[in-house]
Amino acid sequence: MLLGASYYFYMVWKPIYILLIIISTLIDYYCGIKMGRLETKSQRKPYIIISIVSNLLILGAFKYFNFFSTAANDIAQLLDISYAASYLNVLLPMGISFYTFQTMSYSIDIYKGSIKPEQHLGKFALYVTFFPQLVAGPIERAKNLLSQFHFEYKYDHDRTVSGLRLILWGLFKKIVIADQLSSMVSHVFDNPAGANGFSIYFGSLLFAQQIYCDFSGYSDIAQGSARIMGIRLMDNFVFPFYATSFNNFWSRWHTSLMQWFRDYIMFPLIRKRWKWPIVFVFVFLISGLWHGAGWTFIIWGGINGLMVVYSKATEKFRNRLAIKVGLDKVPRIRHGLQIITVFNIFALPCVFFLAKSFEDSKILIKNYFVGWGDVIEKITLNVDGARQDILYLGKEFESFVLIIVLMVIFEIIQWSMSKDSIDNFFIKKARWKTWSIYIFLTFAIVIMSFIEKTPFIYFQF
Amino acid sequence: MSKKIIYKLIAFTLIIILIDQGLGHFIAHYAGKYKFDKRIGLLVDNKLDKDIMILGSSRALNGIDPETIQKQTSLSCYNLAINGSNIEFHETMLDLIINSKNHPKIIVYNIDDPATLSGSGHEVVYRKEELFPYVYNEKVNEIVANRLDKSVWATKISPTYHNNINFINAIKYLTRGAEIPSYEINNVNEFGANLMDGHQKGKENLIYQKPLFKFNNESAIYTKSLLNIVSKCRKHNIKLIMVFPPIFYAPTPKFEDRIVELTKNECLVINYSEEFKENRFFYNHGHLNRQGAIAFSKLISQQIIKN
Repeated sequence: MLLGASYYFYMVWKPIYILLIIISTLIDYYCGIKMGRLETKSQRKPYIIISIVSNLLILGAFKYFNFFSTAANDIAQLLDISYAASYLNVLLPMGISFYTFQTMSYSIDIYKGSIKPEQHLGKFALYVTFFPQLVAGPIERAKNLLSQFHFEYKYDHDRTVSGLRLILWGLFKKIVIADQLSSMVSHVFDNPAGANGFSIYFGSLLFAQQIYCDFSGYSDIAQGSARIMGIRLMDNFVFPFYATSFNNFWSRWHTSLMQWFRDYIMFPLIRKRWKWPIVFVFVFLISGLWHGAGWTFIIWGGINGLMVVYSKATEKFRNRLAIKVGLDKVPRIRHGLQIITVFNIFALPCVFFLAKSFEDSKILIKNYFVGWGDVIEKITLNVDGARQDILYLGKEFESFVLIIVLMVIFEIIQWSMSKDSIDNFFIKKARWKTWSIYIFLTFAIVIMSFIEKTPFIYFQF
Repeated sequence: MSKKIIYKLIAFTLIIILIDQGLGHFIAHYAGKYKFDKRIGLLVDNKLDKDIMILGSSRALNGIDPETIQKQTSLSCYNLAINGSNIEFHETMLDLIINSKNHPKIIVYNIDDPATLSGSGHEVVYRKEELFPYVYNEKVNEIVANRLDKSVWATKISPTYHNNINFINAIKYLTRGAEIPSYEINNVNEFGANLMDGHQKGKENLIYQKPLFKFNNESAIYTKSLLNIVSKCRKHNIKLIMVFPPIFYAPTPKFEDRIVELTKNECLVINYSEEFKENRFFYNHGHLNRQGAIAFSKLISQQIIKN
């Protein structure tokens, strides 16, 4: 029944693309069964190659073909070689990067001998398509998810309440924070030529918050829905903006993907004696490409990779410096500074993530340095209504204030949650307090759910 | 499930229902009070019973004077044009007119050269926020819900969800008081028009311009709306008169031909775009001022009397 529901869930969007999932499922199931019957890695090798190549072919054809074709054309032009670039006019299948990575991890784990192949085709198909996490993760491992499908479901009141709490919190993040910030971010990045330095900076900060609430909100909803059905999905976000360093940030952000890269790319390369800074930059470049088939995403990945390398390389030095200036004696202030630094380091390169083309990113970088001189005057004196454009990013004063107030409330709640857990945040309070929070979250969602469709950002990956 | 859990669920649901009812009605009450331009409210509340109604964007709002038409034709007239609105929105306005109790005999529809059919490059949009304060009306609620991807079914259950679009307007009313009308935007008179005196600041010495636009990006959605307006008026026995208002730039080539081709002589199409050649009639290149609006409304009146 769950498999039927999952297929239906995906087919509501574009029925024909279910075929891709079915093809991927059948290939990996077949390769898994075959590999399970073979003793050595060398005997299993042909099947892991079939599995990986077929998954990468699906991903490459639907997501990267046009990018590589255009890149080949650009290189051919540079070398003065005649090459007719072909273009595939297809819609990117929703969640393709998630389910192909998930099925690949299954095949690789069998190849390495870490898990045994699933004999039941239906259960394996459900592992590939389990609807709460199908389109935007978390990218689950067979060891965690597949094994849970073998247990019978029984209703559990506490588990259901815990799942509903997560869904409520996820909806709050998505509808009340992310969706409200969306139009403000678009106000800046849809018109790069008209944006000035302060707006781009402020828009980048808001986008960092938007993408976090959008993606982690989806993950919470996915985890909550699965939990109600008795399935425990892995955590995808561990309060990343409260990280103490940029390196620490990436171990808390989209953890299911980062762990995938760690286990299947980073560790094998380090075992092959690649130098760790090169491995990190390489992995982040691939991560950039995973996020989008474009140079702007690759640059975004590269910058993040370099910053992680810098963060790791200077960790001891920064600790010594903190002791020297006495920051170690005021841990709260130190953590506050770390939060501000990490948030800015993540937010600023998001210009590349948001730019619709490489040309747009160049304009945005150029405009980053424009308009700082008179920004305070423009905002305070509201010259030609500039305040609405520069500070409120297209919103009216009341809407802007409302969003800021809601963001402050969100941060207060989230900070408390980070000290313990989401469940304990609610459980450990007096009932009237818990109910007040439920009611506030519910009505904030109901009131703010009036804007036009804003699809989850990570659906496009 | 234990009795205790059931009681908790009932108590929680009751609290939610109570707050939902109170909050929903509170928002609805204050949102309506904020708005200055209440013409759509008069329409959906069946308080408009006019022989002639004007539809269009700012060119109609500023450029057609119902008072003049009323005096000239002895037929009652009201302007329902909304500035910055596109033809899709005008179709919605026609739907609301048809849905109301009192149908007009004549609709004067103002054609914008070339924004009526051009999909981009012109600042006309579907002005859905103009409809928000009137979601208490079932038809308006349906239109708004479809536009915003809201569930109509849920709007019928939860008053807060039903009225959430007006939350900011309610806050505005509580913090700023009622809306102060803007001279160029919504300072409508008792006939629904917003006539403007003299010239726009910086446009005091207007010079007749060559064509300002190109007509090469016809929107299929806009074309469909134009055809719908024609067919809906015919179906409900409303006489439709389409007018090209006077403009102070040369008409966009091929645009008029396309309008005539689309309407296929099923309604009266009159082109006044080159009627006035002096800048004393114009507020700016695309909009008439009070003097121009009165003169233009006299021309429309003559046509109404003639037909």
